[in-house]
Amino acid sequence: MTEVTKRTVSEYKNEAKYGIPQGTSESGICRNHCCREEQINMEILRVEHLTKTYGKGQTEVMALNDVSFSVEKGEFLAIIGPSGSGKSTLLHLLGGVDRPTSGKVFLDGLDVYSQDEDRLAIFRRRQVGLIYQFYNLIPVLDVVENITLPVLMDGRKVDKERLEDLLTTLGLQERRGNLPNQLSGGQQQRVSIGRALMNAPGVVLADEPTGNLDSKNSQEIVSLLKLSNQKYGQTMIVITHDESIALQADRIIAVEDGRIVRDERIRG
Amino acid sequence: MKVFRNYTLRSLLRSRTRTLVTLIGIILSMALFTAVIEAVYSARCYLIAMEEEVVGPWNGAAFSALGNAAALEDDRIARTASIQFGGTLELGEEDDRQTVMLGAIADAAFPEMVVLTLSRGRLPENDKELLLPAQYSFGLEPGDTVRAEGGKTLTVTGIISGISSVLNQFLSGSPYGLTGPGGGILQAIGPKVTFFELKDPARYLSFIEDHPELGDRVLPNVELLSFYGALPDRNIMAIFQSIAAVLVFLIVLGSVSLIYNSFAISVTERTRQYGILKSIGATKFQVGYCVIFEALVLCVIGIPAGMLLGCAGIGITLFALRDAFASMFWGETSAQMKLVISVKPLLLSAAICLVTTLAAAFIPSVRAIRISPMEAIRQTKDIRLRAKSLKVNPLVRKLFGFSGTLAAKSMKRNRRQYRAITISLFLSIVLFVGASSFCDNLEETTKSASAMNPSADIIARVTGEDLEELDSLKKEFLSIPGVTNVTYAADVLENIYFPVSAMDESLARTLNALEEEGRSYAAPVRMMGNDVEGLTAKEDYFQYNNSFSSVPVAFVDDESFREILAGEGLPEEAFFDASDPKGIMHNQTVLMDYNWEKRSTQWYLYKVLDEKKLPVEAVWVLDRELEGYGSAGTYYDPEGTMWYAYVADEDLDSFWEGSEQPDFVPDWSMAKLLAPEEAKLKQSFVLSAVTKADFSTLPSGQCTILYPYSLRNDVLDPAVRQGYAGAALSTVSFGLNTKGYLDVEEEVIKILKGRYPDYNTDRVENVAQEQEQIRMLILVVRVFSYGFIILIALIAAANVFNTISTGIMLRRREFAMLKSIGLSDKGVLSILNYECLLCGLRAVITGLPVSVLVCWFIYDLAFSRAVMNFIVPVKSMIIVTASVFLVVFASMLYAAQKLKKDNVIEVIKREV
Repeated sequence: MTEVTKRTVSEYKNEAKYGIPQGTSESGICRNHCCREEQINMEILRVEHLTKTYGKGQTEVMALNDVSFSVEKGEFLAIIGPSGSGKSTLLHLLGGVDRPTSGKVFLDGLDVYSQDEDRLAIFRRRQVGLIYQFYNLIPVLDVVENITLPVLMDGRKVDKERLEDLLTTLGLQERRGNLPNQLSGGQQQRVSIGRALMNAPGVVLADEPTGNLDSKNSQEIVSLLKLSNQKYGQTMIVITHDESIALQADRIIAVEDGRIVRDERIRG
Repeated sequence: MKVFRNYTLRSLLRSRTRTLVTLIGIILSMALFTAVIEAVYSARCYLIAMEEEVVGPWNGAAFSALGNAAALEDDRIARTASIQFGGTLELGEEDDRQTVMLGAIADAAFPEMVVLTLSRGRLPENDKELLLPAQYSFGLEPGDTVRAEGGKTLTVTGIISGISSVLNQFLSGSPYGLTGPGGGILQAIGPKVTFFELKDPARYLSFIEDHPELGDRVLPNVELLSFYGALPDRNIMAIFQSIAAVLVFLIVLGSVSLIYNSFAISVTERTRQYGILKSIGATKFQVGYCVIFEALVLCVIGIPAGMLLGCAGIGITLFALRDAFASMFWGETSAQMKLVISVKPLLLSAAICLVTTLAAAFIPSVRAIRISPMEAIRQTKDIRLRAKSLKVNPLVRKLFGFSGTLAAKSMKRNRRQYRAITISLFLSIVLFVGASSFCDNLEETTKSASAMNPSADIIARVTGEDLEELDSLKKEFLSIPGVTNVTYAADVLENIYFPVSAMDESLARTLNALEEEGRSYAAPVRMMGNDVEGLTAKEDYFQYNNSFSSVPVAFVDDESFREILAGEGLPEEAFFDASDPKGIMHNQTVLMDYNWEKRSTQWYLYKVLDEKKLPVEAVWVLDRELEGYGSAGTYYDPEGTMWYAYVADEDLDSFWEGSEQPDFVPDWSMAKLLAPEEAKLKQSFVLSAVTKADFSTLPSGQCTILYPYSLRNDVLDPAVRQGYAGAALSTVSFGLNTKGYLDVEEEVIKILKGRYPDYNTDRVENVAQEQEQIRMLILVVRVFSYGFIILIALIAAANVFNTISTGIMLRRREFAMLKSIGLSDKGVLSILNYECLLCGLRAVITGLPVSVLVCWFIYDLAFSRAVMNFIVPVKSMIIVTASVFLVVFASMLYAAQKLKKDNVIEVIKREV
C-alpha cells in the first residue's frame, strides 16, 4: 500500500510540474463505461480519523469527530444528515477548502493537507470539482468562461471537444454567451456542474446542489450528475437533504453529531 | 492569467460609477502631483533664467596666477570664457594717478557667459576699446581716449554699473579696465580669470572636490548655484522642495483615502468573489494579481489623463499669472514665468501616483487575499458584530426616535467606512480654513503695513531749492500723459514738543487709561515735564512719538498749500505772511496699540491738539553745530551741572584715544563746554489751523505740520537752516498721482535725466508699483492655495460621494427588508438623513476646532510679529460647513433615488 502511495505522489508531483492534468495522462480512456468494472475496486479517496472543531473552551463545537471512510473510483456517494450534523464541514475538508483539526485526507494517494496553500489551490483546481447550493458563479464572466475558469487559471488550453461535449450534455449550447444573471437557477447550477467537470477532477463534491431549486430542476440536476458519473466515470460525492436524491446514489453515508452513523451500499 | 485580466476588466466595467469615481480620484491626484511638482520645477527654471540674465550663466570663476589651471581641461565643463590680465594703465588726475590693471576679454563669447551691465556706452569689440567700472572710471566717459603703457591709445567705449564681486575679490579690490578680444595691448601675461559653466551645475561641489589644485582660487556663482541646489548650505530650492513635499503628502493623504475607500467599499463583494475563485483553485498570487492589475488599469488611464490635466492646469495658471509674476520682479528680469515641461518631474509625479494607487488598492485587499476560501464564501468575518458595540446612546433614541436609533446603529456597524469619510472631510475642512486664513492674514498684514503709505503713486526726489526750477519741473511732470496731480515738498522728520496744556482731551483720557492698565509704555506720547533736552521750559511738554514716526515738518509747494487753505476756508494772506508765518497741522492721527500680553491690536483715531486752544506753539529742539568742532557728548562738572562738549576736529582723534579701554576717561580739558542754553537750538512752530487733508508725499493719516515752501527761510531760524535741517530741506520730494504708473515712471526718469544727467534713478520711488507687487503676490498665493484646496476638496467630495452612495447600495437588501415590514420611503429617507447629519456633524465638530488651532499656529508662526489681531476665520468656517453638508446630502439623495426604484421582494430574493 505504501508503495502505491509513493508512486502516485511522485506521479502527482510530475503532473504539477509539467502541467499534465490527472486523468488525461491515461488519455481519458478510463472514463468509458466499459472500464468501470476494473476501476470499481480502486480506492480514490481515503479519510482517516478526521476531526474538526470550531471555537475554543466553552464555545467549542465539534463539527466532525474521528471520521474515517474511503471512496472508490467512479463511485456515486450521497452524504445525508440533519442540519448541523457536520456534513458540509466534511465536504469542505474533502475538497481542500478548509483545514482539519486532526486526521488526514488522501486523494488518489496524496495527503491533501500536507501541501502548502498554493499547492492546495492547484490541487483544488485540478483534482476537485465543487458544486455549491448557491452556484457561486463569477457574475462578470459568461457561461463558457465560468465553465473553463479552472483550466484557464491553470494557464492551459481549453479542450474544445470536451467543452462542446459538456455544453451539449448540460443543454447550455444556446446559453454559452450569457452572464449568470441572465440564467435561471437551474441553468446556473448546470454551469457550475460544467465548471466542476471541466478539468476531469479526481472527485466532484456537491453541497446541496438542488437546495435552491424546484423539484423539476432538482431532478434534472441529479440526472446530470448521474449521467456524468456514468458517462465519464466521475467519482461524485453529493450532500443532500433529499432522500429521493440519496436513493439514486451507489452508497449512502449518514452523518449525525459529527460521526458516521450509517454507511450502506445500495447498488453496484 | 488572461482570464484574471478579463475578470478584472469586466468587474471594473460592471461597477461603473465606482470605477469612474476612483478614476476621477486618480486623475485629480495625478493632476495635483503634476501641478505641484511642475510648478516647483518651473519656478526653479524661472529663477535660474532670471539669475542667468542678471549675472550670466557661469557657475564658477577660477583664478590662476599664470596661464591655465588643469581643472579647466575637465570634460565636465561645458564652456569657458576668460579675462587675461597683463599690464597696467595710469588713470586719474595729474597729482593723483592710479594704477589700473588692464585685462583683455579673451573670448568673443564672453558677454554670453558673464553679464556686464552697461550703464552707458557699449561693450568693447577689440583690443583698442576699453570698458571701465563706474567706480574706477576716473571721470572718463565713452568716447574719451587714454594712453596705455607702450604709447598705444585706447578708446573708452562703455562704463559698467557696479563692479564684479568676483574680479573684485581676485584682484583684491584694485581698479581694473577691460579691453575687447585680441589682447595685443597686454604687455605681459599676468593672472587669468576663467569663468566656466558645467554640463551639470548641480554637481558643482563634486567638481571642485575633484580639483583640489584650484584651492580657494575659485569662486562660485552663489545665487545661480543655489537655485540648482548645488550648495548645501545655501539651498534655496530645499525650501521649495519641502513645501512641495508637504503638499504632495497632503494629496497622498487625500487620494489614498479615496482610492483605499473605493477598493474597500466593495471588499464584501470582492471577498466573496475571491473566495469563489480560490475555492475552485486560484492561488493567492493569482488573486493578488487581480488587485494589482485593477490598480494598474486605472493608473494606465488615470496617470496620462491626470498628467495632461495637471500640465494644462498649471500651464494655464502660470500663463494667467504671468503679469503678476512679471510685476513681482518688475525691472529685474525679462524672463517669463511659464510652464517648463520636463520628463524627470513628470516621471516623479507618475511614480508617486502609481505607488499611491497600488498601495491604496492593495491594503484593503490583503485580507480578501489571505482568508481561506470557506471564510470568504461564508463571509463570517465581515459581519463580526457584538451587540454591545452597537449600543446606542438612549439620548439619540429620545431625540431622533426609531429612525435615529437605526441610523446610529448602522453607522456603528459601518464604522470603518464612516471613519474614512470623517477623516477625508476633516482634512478638507482643516486645509480649506487654514489656507484661507493664511491668505487673509497675509492680506491684512500688507494692508496694515501700507495703510500709512503716502497717497502719491510715484515719488521722485531732487536736490535743489530754486523755486522757479521746482515749479517748472512740476509743470513738466503735469504735462506727462496720465498724471493727474503733482505736488512737491521738502520735509524734516523730527521730534516736536507740544505743550501739555493744548493736548486733546480724548488723547489725555487714553493716556490715563493706559496708565491704569500699567501699560503706559504703549502710549503714543511721552510726557517730558518742563525739561526738554536739558532746556528748562516755562511749561510742561509732551512729545508725540509713537513707534511709527515722528512728526514731519513739511514745506509744501505754494500752489498745493493754497489748495489746502481753500479746502479749509482759511484766508491766504494770513498764512503767506512772511513776518508771522503760521503753520497748519494735520491734527488727526492713527494710533495702533498692540497689547503683547493679550496679543491683540487696537486702532485708535484721535486728535493730538485741542483745536479750541489754537494757536499753539510747538517746539523743536536740535543740537547747535559749531563750525570746525565735533560733538563729544555731555559732561557733568563736579557740581553736577550738565555741559555739552565740543572738540575741535583736529583734536578729535587724540581726545578719543584709548576709548576702547573699559576705564577710559576723556581729557575734558580739551573740550569746549557749552551750557544747554547755548548748545541747543530752539525752533518754534506756531500752529494756527488744522486740516484733515493728507499731503501726497507724506505718510497718510499721520500728524504733520505744513508750511508754504516759499516761507521756509522765514519759518526757520538761520542757525537751524545751517545744520542738519538745511541739508534735509535741500531734498525736495515730488509726488505724482497717476493713471498707469509704469509708463509715467519712465517719463519721469526721462525728464529728470534730461535735467540732471547724473540723476540716480533710485531716487524715484514707485509707491503704486510696490503696492501692486504686494497685491500680485497675494493674488498668486491666493490662486495657488485656493486652486490646491479646491482640488483636494474635490477628491474628498468624490470620496464621500463614493463611500456614501455605494455604502447605501450595498445595504439594499436591508432597506428592502425594512420596507417589507412596513417602513415607508419617507422612513428610509429619514434614516439616511440622520446618518448624513451625524456623519457631517462629526466631521465639522472635529474639523472646525482643529482648523482654528491650525489658524492660530499659522498666525503665531508667521503673522504675530506683524502686529495684528488673530482673526477667527468665521467666513470660511461657514462656507466649509455648508459645503460638507451639501456634499454629504447630495451623495445620499443620489443613492436614495436609486433605492426607491427597487422592487422589495426581488431585492430580498436576490442571492446573498
